[in-house]
Amino acid sequence: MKLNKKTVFLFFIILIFTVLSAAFFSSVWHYMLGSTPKPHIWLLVCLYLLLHRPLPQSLPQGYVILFFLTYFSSVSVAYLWLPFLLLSFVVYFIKSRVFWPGARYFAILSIAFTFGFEVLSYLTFYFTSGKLLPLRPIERFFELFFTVALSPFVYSVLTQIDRMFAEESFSEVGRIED
Amino acid sequence: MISLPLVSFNTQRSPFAEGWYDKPFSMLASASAHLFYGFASSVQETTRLYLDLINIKHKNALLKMENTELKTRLLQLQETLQENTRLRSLLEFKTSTRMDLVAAQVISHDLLSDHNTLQINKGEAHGLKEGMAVITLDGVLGYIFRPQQNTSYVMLITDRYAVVDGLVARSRARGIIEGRGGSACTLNYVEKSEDVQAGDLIVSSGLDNIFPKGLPVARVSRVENLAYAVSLKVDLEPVVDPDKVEEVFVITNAQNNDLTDRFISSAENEAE
Repeated sequence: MKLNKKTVFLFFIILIFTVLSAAFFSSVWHYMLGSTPKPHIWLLVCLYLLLHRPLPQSLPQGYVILFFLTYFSSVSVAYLWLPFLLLSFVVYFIKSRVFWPGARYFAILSIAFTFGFEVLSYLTFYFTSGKLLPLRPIERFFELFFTVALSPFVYSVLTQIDRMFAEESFSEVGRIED
Repeated sequence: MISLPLVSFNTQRSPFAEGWYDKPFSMLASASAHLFYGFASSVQETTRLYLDLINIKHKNALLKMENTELKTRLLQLQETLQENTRLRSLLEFKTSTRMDLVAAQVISHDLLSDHNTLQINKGEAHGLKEGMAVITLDGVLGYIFRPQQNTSYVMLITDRYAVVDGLVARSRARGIIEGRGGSACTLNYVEKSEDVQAGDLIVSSGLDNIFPKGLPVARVSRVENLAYAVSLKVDLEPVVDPDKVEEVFVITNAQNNDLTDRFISSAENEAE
């Protein structure tokens, strides 16, 4: 795997996008819409990285993004990294069998990815603390709904960033290393 | 034909006299005059209406703009009034209490819905430290768990990691308030023989060295005395709604204040 300056710069841009969106949803969104469930833009970014980067590259990049998210929440990074790790293998497995580039595929996978992340976070917390989190099905449904609804927008933004700053696209199916 | 004008001179009568032939002619004349007058006046009226319409349209647009501007200003004034009232109560509270307080504003909420934290615009540079109590005029909000240089993260009492030592204001039954995530918390380890009822006010006991004694924390929403459980199952509803909080106080020095009388009497009055 080559880790050149361009890859690092591109990741840096995506990281800035994620951090800005996290700041927006933790501050502006709340003041405008109160306790309305927030979309998980950061999950979409992680999914995009898993789909459009080789796994050895997307995994650490996802970890870094999730680490930065802990500055917008009291969540322990382990509760984000573990579900992400498990889901990254699932996504890689799906990608190696069914993949077509485009917003529709991204939206379909974002439903499964967001749902999977919610379930795995819930279970991780239960198995590590012995406590059950409140289910809040309506709130979780709307989180999922807003996340999926925003997935085409996020996909187009990230694709644009990729096009602007990268020479090649990393959408090779089942590719592990460059 | 030539003599006809002369004849007419002869037939000239008093201008007030009316001949038999005058009536139909005068009727015809007045009718036609009326007709033309009506036409003329309606044309004038229509023209005036049209001109007025243009003016009205213009005035309407101006008034609409003015109305929107006034509405916006009214909203701003109402917002300022509310802010003013809030700040005045905060100031009154700050001046009337013996505790050392630092006022702060809420700048963001937790990104993840399973966690209940918020960020305030004061940090270590303003003397804030980890474990300091964060309150509002209504009662306990949470405590500082991650102070930064100019901001601090506040863990709300509803967060699943939050723990506050509390007691029932009415019966003095003790328990540990633990966050459940979402917008609720529970009072744990309350002996089954204790007297706890729905609607009871739970206050801080002061034993956790975070909150001074007597600050309202939550109200009992449900009590269950399960046969197989070793303690009562007490569900609580916090007195402070974190979604509506904009300004908070951080207690930098409680000076062993006992706020039982101050808060409980006002809280009981509100409940009644």
